[in-house]
Amino acid sequence: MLKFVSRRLAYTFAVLVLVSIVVFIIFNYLPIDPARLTCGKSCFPALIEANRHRLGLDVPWWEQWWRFIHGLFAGRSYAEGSAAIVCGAPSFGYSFNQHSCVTSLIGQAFPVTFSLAIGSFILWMIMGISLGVLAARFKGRMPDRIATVFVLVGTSLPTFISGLLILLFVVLKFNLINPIEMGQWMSPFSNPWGYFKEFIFPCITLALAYAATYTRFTRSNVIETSSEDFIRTAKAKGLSSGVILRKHTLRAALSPILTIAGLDFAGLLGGAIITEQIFNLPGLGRLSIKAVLTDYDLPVILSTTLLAAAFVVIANLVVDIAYAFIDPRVRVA
Amino acid sequence: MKPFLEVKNLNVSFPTEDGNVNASQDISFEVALGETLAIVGESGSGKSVSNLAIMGLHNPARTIISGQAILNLESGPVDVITAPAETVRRLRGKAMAMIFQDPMSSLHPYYSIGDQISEAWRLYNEGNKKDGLKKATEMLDLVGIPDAGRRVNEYPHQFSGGMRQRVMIAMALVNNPQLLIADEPTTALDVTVQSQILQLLRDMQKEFNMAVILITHDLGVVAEVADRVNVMYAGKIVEQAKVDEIYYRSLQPYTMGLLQSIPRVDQLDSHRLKTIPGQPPSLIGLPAGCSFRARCEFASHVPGNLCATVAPALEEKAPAHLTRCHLTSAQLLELNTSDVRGSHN
Repeated sequence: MLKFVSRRLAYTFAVLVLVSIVVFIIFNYLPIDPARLTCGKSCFPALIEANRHRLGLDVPWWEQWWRFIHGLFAGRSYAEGSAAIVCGAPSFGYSFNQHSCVTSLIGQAFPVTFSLAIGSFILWMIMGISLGVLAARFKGRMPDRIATVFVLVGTSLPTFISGLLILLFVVLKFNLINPIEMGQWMSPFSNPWGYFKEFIFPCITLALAYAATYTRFTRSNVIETSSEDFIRTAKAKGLSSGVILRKHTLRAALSPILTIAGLDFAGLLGGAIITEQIFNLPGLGRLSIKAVLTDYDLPVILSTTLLAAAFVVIANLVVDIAYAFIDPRVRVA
Repeated sequence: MKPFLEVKNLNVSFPTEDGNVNASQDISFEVALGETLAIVGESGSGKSVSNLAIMGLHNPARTIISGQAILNLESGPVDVITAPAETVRRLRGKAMAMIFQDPMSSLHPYYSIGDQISEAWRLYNEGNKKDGLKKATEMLDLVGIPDAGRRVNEYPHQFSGGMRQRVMIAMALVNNPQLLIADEPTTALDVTVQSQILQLLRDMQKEFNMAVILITHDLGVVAEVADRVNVMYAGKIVEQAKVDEIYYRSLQPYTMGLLQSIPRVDQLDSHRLKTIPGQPPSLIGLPAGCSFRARCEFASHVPGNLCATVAPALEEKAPAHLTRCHLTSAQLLELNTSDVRGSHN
């Protein structure tokens, strides 16, 4: 087991290094010159060159990459003398557009995205799995038909429609949130009710889309597992149908769902762009989309991309390790 | 004393869009404690279907079952066909147990062998998990799994096919059932392992004094272990007799055909292996008359159009020897010894 985990850890680390190199190469060849963007109309070549040096863009990409990695562990400083800007470790660089260390920008955005991701994750897992199990248990009957309609609506309704509908016809119609307050970060510790009100609707919006997929997946997995030979063996033992469902069918049917659930959750941690945009939530999705569309803020783009990749790779690792505990066949291999 | 299991006029059919599939019809037989009944027939002849009905393992929403299957328990007789589902469930694994054809897929891949056997034991016995594992180890030892103390904590994928079938047998026997239904227990195993498993089943039968129903299409297996034999064709029992009667004095054209299609080492290679021509009929809307007539070599010996119009009843044509055929036992015996044997040489 220890060998398995350490091998997977090494693999994860290698993937992250590779991703960071690829991201640096891509950004190096983008037809955008961040140094050119640092000054407006008053630009002249000497100033651009000076800014280029200040941004650390005057060295080849591999050196930029090395500085970035170094900064992650040792912190990083920009410019010299009295104008020096220091971003302590772990430093994701400095955003000259927002005049802030990227680490602190991420630090502000991450709790928002995390709240959204964890909330919707819990909602969609509960909804999707219970509806899927019900549909499988009562296949072809009323609960199954309700689930079919739910799956159809959930998968065909994009988040930007369902989100707007919820915003217009629930949140604003019933005055559930003061529009001025909307989009301000509420701490769950000092203002739990405000936090709940702020996040419940975006979470529902996001969860609806995922729950539909999970309902369908759970339903088909449970139906498929129910016809397995080992379920017949469980029946022949004399176990009651409730025990067979809980202990035998679900154990085998839900394990594969864990894999996608881990990856979906990790994907959301990188930022739910559309939902954050609709509900004006200052999360990672908003941070990165703003950096891409308006600011060409390379350090932010770079950091959010790397972070999103890191979440997925780490989630993969966690899922693999968890799977080894669930499925004995993986453990030995 | 009454036999442990009495099956009377058991019918099982599955409604489909094309009509009812009459998978087994008018099945009647008995099995006593300590006795092995073999049920022989080709795929789709209704061997498994009738026994799954006795175990109550059919989906009630998709199956129509009628008739009786009476277990003569110490507490009194119970008809498992008409008894409430909950009553039958409490007999499964306790009074009657079943092992299946494919041991590779019949064990839950996520639970250890010990957990799975212990689960079956704890269903009907007071005891904690530790007692269950101890019992599981004993059972593994009993069915001949070496190093049972260590292997009890292993998972199905760590066992070979033969070992898994031993595990299945251990699990089936953990509550000392009086009836064991073995549904083609050796079909998925290779030949050397087959005979080990059969030997184990025989030993266990002695040990527990069980009634055993062995479902198989392998007549070699039947000769080895059975006391009595039911031969099934197209959902019906066509011959029912002691094993020696079946092999030496068969009164059923279908059984004779089966016996002649077994390859034998003492026959030269110039001897072409005999087969039964044709296919078994569809079980949806069986035509009138004998289901086997289209493939029967002896149909021409029956006067008139009897085979095509009247389905033969299961009749006792020799002492304790039942068969479905319009010919007399004398005719059948004569045809069995002379006519057919020579025809293909």
